[in-house]
Amino acid sequence: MWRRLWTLLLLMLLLPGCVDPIEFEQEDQQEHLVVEATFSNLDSSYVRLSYSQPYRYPFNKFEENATVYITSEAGEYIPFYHTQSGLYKPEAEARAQIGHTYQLHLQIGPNSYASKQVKVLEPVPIDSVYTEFAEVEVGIWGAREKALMPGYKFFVDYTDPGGLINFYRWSVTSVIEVYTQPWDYIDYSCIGCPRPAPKDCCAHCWIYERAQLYKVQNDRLSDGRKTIHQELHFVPFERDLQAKNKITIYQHAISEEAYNFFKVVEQQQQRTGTVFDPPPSQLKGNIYNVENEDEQVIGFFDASAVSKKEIIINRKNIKEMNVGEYVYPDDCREIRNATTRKPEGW
Amino acid sequence: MLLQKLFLFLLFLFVLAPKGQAQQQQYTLSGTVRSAWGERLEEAYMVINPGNKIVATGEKGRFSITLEEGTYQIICQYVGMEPFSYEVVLNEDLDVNLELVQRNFQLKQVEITTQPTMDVNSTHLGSTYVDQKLLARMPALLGEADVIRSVSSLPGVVNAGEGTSGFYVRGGSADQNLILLDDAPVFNANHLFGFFSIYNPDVLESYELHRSGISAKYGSRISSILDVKMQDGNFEKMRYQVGLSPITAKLSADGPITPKLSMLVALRGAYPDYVLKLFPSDNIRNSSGYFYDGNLKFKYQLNEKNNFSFSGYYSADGFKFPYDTTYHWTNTLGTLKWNHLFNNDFAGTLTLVKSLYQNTVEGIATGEEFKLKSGIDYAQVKADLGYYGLDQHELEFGTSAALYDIQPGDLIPYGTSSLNRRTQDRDKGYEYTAYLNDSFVLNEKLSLSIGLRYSFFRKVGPAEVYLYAEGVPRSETSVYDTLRYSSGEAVQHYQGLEPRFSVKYSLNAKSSLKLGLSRTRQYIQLISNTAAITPVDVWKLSNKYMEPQVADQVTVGYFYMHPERRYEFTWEVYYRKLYNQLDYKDGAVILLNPTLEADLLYGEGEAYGSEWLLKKSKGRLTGWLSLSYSRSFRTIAGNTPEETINNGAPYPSNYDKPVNISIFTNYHLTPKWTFSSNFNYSTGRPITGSDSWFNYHGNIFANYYGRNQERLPDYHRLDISFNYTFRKSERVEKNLSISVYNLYFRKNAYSTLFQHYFGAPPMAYRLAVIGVAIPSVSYNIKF
Repeated sequence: MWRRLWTLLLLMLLLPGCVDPIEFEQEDQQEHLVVEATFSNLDSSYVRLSYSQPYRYPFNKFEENATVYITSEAGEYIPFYHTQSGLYKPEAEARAQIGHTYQLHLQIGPNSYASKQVKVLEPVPIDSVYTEFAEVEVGIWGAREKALMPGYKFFVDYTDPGGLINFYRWSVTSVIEVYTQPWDYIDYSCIGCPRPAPKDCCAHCWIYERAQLYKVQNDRLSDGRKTIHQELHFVPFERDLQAKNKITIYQHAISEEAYNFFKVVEQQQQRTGTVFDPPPSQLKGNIYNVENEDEQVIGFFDASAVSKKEIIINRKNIKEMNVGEYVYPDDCREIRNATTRKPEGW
Repeated sequence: MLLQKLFLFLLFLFVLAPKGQAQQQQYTLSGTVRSAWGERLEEAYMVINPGNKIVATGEKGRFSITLEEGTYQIICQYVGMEPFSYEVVLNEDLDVNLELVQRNFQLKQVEITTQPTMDVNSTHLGSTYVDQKLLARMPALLGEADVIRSVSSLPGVVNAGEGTSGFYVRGGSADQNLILLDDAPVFNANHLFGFFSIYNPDVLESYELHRSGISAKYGSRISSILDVKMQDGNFEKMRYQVGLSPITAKLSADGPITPKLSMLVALRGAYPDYVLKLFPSDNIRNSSGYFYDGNLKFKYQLNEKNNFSFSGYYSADGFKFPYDTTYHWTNTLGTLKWNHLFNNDFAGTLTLVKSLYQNTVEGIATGEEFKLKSGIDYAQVKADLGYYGLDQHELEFGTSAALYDIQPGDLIPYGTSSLNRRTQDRDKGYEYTAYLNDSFVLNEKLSLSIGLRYSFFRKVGPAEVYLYAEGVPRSETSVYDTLRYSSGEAVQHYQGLEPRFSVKYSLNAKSSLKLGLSRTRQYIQLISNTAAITPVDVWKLSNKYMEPQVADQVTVGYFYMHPERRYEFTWEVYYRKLYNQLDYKDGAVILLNPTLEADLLYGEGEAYGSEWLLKKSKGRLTGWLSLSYSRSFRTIAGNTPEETINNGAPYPSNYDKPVNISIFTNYHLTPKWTFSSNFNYSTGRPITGSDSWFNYHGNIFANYYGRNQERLPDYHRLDISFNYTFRKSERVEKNLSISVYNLYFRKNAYSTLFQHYFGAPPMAYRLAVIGVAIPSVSYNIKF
């Protein structure tokens, strides 16, 4: 009897649900300009302009009619052109020069915005990139709960230059080859559905993805040392490693201001609400309204030189487990960021 | 012995006898015999001596007997009750009320009725006394009653959140409370994620929380003193106690070793891992934790004028979050005391105190293996003297010297680690104090307590003091020069007087008005960028940039005590001003930061409030109702915008929870069963709110603005417990306690998160540490 009672008591402890939505009075909700701006010595420069939105409004709002350009103390002038969804890109050959100091300018209607001046620092080369098998809880696009998935963790090693104060940040691009099954497509949105509705195209795609990793590092405690096993990224086998995946890791040499900014971003992203969390704080970037410095502009103009290293992973080389076939009974172009354009040299 | 402490009512019916009557006049002695909760007892026997007359109560518990004039001893007896002895002078007709106590409840009854939490006639205000028996009746969490959880239900005290053992007193931060265990300060009173504190309730004697009108004897912290005393070993016989609860086991023994030497030893250990494994969250399931602790006390009665005592405590704690970090800490406390009676009017105590807190964080991730050691080594010697030879005066005076030796951080990399070894200079300082306090009675109505405390603090080397450029925010890059101090060299000193004053004016025999004024100083602070005391916090002594914290407080109070001590009521109103308060820059780095002062912000605080406490100490139903309304603000207006919070305007501090209600009741259902409940309500803690969400590099973030401009939802919780006392056999006493914490499954928010889940718009979520009712059973045997 005691045993049963005990089990009951323990079951009560098991009842889940420690994180629930709550209502906040949302009176002081505001819209602020949000600027993503990356300018580097490689071809990955872009600016994206959007607005922060009240919690009652669940959609993105982009700024598509801005004039965007970068100037430098050396007299460079680099215009950016709007492509889509608030994304502005420079001419293909625009590159940041190491040692130069740049400033971002935005003109949105009557308002002029500018960034503080940012000097491009010498990048620190990546010594090596490698992977380790792991199971990690990851948030999958479209799913509310995180799921535990097998995959590879990516690590870098690098050698910190001694005697200098260095700050690091990383970003990742990946090209993922996928095979899908459009012939197995089932139509759910018609009269008399569901019924099989095989598609002719397409079964073979490449997904182009870019991720800014909110991981920053400084050499406060490791100046001049070879730094190993810096964990940066996780790629689950499902979808991402079912054929071939080319991953490029970019190591940015950033300023102290950029480090402080991305550190707060990293802290925010890692918040779990426990006692170990520092209090949340406002993200204070380096972009301001030229006429009204009190206006809050969210974002940071990060002009930095990067070093990069590629790593290619083939499904057939995965030894740790037998990765099953990716099941996606639809046109592969329906996958976010996927096209049938084959990358050069694939 | 204890019986003598029993409360007794006597109602005299005066019949004025004419003078000059015959000597052997006869009078009627009558009365009523009741149980402690008022039930009239039939068939209770009175043995009256001299004469050995016996009389029994009839229906309604009444008895009556006619006796000749004289002095009589009455012994009243009833089945299952403690015999009660009482002397009566019979020179008129007399009607008495006798109250008997159930044998099994003897201890509890005594404790609950003889120790009011306050004294109407003293000059003390703002202090509360709770003993072990009362604590043991409060509903437990996971089978353990806890001192710090119970402190949080007192007026003027709010808890720092579930899963933390920090508490805030009158708008002050957690590090502004001096937490003592037999005079030794405790630097981390947490056990097991903060669900328990270091005090083993089985061997606790009592605790007293002083939050205003603090005597000049106490100091070193500015908000409160939590003075916790552990039991001494008894001098009568060996006693043993065993306790079991779902996650802790306890064992204690005490008794005489020789007629002059007594000993107490207590051990406690926790095994929570199997409970953690039951949680749905992976983070909790893969975590593990443990703690164990032990108390050791000796008391040696050398002679009538001298006794010595030793109190030792050791605890070890550890927990591991999944993945790559483990935390371990230990507390080692020791107090050696010599009490000496110089003569009948003059007594003194010499005390040696040691408190050692050591903390190790270990990282085990490949490439980043390290051990980070930090801690405090505290030693103190103090002499406290009392002179009572002056009529109507109680003079207390004393002096102390303390050494703080803090290891802020020693990073030791090993294995494949790419970290460099880094050892920060030890943070050392001396604190000297002297005090004089005179409590005197001016007349029946007016009493005063005037005290003065002087403290002197000297920070000594080794130290590097950075000089920062003026006009720009302090940071590592604005350092323009460094002053180096060698070991032992004076780096900085602070000093000051701390006047204490309180006065009592009796309105009548039952009630009084009191006023208290005080200044307190503190030379050590906890640097913590989280809401609670955690193992990754750093204690830091005052230095060139961190000036000592100072608090000024004025309190006015009304105190009422029912003549039969059945009820007591207190009402206190206070105002406090706090100087040199700390807050943090956004993204402040605390660990191993040599320019820590540059990441801190300095300002002032202000707090005020009103506290009411109504307590019922007698009868079948006992308990209290405590209510407070209080506010606490900080103002941080630095020289630059980066060093200013909310544009320099006052903002609610982390400790600002305006409304607090606490209701504790204890009810005797039957002689063996008692039921107790504890209800707590408080306004939610201030948090930094978000005015909008945004998409940044493909992730959703919240835009936080200002500081502490929003609030968590209100906190409330009801705990209940049933206590059963088994029939006391000759030698064994057994107790069973069944309790439920958070009875109605309230999911109190510990914090909020602005998060984005796919499929839902970005919104605020609350994180509840405890979202369900937690039942527990504990069983104690004393023999």
